[in-house]
Amino acid sequence: MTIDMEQFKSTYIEESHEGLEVMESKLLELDSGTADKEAINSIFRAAHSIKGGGATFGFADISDFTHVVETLLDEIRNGKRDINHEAIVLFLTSVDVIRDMLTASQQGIEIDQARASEVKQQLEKMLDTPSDDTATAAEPEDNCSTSGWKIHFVPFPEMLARGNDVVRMLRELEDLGTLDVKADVAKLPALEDLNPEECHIGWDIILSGTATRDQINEIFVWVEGDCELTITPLLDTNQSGSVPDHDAKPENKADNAADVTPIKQVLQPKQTPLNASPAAERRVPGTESSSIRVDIEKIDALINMVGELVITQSMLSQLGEDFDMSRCEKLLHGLGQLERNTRELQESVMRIRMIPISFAFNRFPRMIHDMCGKFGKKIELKLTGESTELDKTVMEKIGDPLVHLVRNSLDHGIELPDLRVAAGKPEFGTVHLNAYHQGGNIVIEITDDGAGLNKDKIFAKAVEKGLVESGAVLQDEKIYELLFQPGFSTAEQVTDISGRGVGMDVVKKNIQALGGSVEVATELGSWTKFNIRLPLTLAILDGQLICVGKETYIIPLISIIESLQIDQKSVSAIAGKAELYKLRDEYIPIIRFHHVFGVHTDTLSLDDGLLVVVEGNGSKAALLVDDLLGQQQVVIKSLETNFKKVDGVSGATILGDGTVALILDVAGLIRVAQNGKFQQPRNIIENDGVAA
Amino acid sequence: MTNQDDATPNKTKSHVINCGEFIDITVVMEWRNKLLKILPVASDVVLEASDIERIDTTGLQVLIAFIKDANVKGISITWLVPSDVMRNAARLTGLTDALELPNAV
Repeated sequence: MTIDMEQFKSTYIEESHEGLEVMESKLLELDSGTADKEAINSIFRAAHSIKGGGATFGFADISDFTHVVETLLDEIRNGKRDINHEAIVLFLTSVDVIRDMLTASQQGIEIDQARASEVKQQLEKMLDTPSDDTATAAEPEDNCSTSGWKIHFVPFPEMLARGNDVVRMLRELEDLGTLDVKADVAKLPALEDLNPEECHIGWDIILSGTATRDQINEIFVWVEGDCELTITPLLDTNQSGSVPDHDAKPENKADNAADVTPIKQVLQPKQTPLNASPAAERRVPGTESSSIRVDIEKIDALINMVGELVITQSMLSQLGEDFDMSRCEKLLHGLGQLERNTRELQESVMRIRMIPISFAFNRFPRMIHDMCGKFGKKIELKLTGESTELDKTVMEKIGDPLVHLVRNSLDHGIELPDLRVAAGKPEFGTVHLNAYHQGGNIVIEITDDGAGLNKDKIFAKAVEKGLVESGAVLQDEKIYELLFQPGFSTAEQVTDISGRGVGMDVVKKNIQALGGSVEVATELGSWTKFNIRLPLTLAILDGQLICVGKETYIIPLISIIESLQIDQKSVSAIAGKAELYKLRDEYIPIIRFHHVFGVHTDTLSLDDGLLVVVEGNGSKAALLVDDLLGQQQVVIKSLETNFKKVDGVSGATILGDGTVALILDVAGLIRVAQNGKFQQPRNIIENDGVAA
Repeated sequence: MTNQDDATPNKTKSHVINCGEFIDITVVMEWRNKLLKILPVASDVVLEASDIERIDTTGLQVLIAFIKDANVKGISITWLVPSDVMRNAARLTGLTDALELPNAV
């Protein structure tokens, strides 16, 4: 029988990304001094799994590279080598290399061998550097003259069922030296009582030869936590120490048992309580993945909902079999229940796609670590609301805009330590990422206690770039919004992080593409806060139903500024037949909706219709529609998947009466109208009284 | 798993058990059930193990449990040409005696 390894590769890559995240977060903890010795064991285990899986699933490059990382980590965890900042930086770089290798393998593109080779050489160079004397002295046991090892090994019953096999392990052990194995079968139950997949045998093993503890640990690392294990050196006869005691009588075993320690304690001699950092449980989003891990509770909730639905359906069909008007109230009650069930089921299904925002936040500790090292800033990252959930697709798309905003805070916001101290601020600046739910949206705040935004400077720059007139009077908020104009930057120096003026407009555009918004608030010299508001999901949106001719369309509520009845005096026509509507101080182009979509309507005069003022990608337009119908949540169906991409339309939905309604892409619609790339409907007689 | 005999009420019958090519965790439960059926009816058992190409800890363990129970019931056990794989697995795990395997190859 051959096993198709392909099916496991994506799981391996996904789990390796998780392993890399553990490595990264623990390395950062080590660097900041908040981690204990257990951290290095966690890092080692993650590297070991990545290496092992890489070899198994045919990723030889990944396996070879990680092997060197693992070897170095092994020396550190065994106390043979100290870990310092230089090593941590190298390990973090190695994490990046492995991540890139995984991504390349996932996408079927070439691995950057040059970079991998360069980092591998650095790792090997570090390995070749003699171990620190002090560190070596910390583990005298490993360096005294040993003639072999005594290994007491008692598997827990479930160890074999987890794919471990003592025969294989002892075969590997025999490769390290001469074995003398004594098995204890006293606890083996009678065949009738035996669960043969459980292990009931224990072993006392003498391994003679020059094997090192590391080599032995390597063999037992897979059964860590699944057995009792003690490994003690056999000292030379002129030294005191443990002596093999094969002749110990069974009754002595009870005494010996007191010395038996679970493997975790043996392999981690300097174990102290774990620093329970939630960072360790987070995952870094490497690439956008096509699978999602779902909490079993969410699945259970879904099953419960389906159960409820089946009961309601059964009740209704029973009612339908023998229905008369006297049972009308019961029918209405049943339909109400069906509606509740459907809504709850919908919410449960939507929850499956929801993942905590920590997936997006988790990349920032590393980013801040690197930036601080590079620019000499001292920054503390504060994360709150990390468990706030939002749709996986939104999460994946918000990652880059968030990175840009945080980079801006690091680069332009937080001052250098001496400047901060001079300004009476703490030496360490703080960047605070916070997330919470509010009214069906998720709000993400990025706050820094840096220099704040200088509105005079922003205004002057805007005047210089011709974005506003020099004499214009703008409210503070309007001035700060200028930051999101293309090419706008007030940074005195362009750095490789930010300051080129490229990005903030893209940030806003990306957030708006998700149906969200971004605002900025600040106090000069004290703080800046970016406030991002996003829908929880892209699958459902709040829409305004409008009517044009016999058709119904949906405008996303978030795009609508206001709706109004037309005042003919405010309408003016300019060359090219374009019409403008004067709304307070602004002139807004009118888009005759039926023109763009080629819909026949009787509402041809502006007097008969309504204007819906919308905004998309920073452009405003007034849509002429026949009527406003109502507002409702709609489930978005992809038009591209079911039909084809249509400019000005982002999707479709099915209304309560079964008809299909198109959902408008406001930015696209404005673009289509501006380009005039649409067919005017035939047989339409224009009859507008347009004021000149 | 191939076995030349099936459970039979004839207590005096000699049972030859062909151990097949492998006894591992994937088939060990079947082996346990098979051996359990033999215990009440056999007077002596021959374990034919020349074909064994793979045996893991669970396989060794189920055979030891069978042999221990057989000893209690006075059933004699004889190995017939155990394969090198079988011998080596027993030696490595220190279970040669418990399996009552002959020491000489």
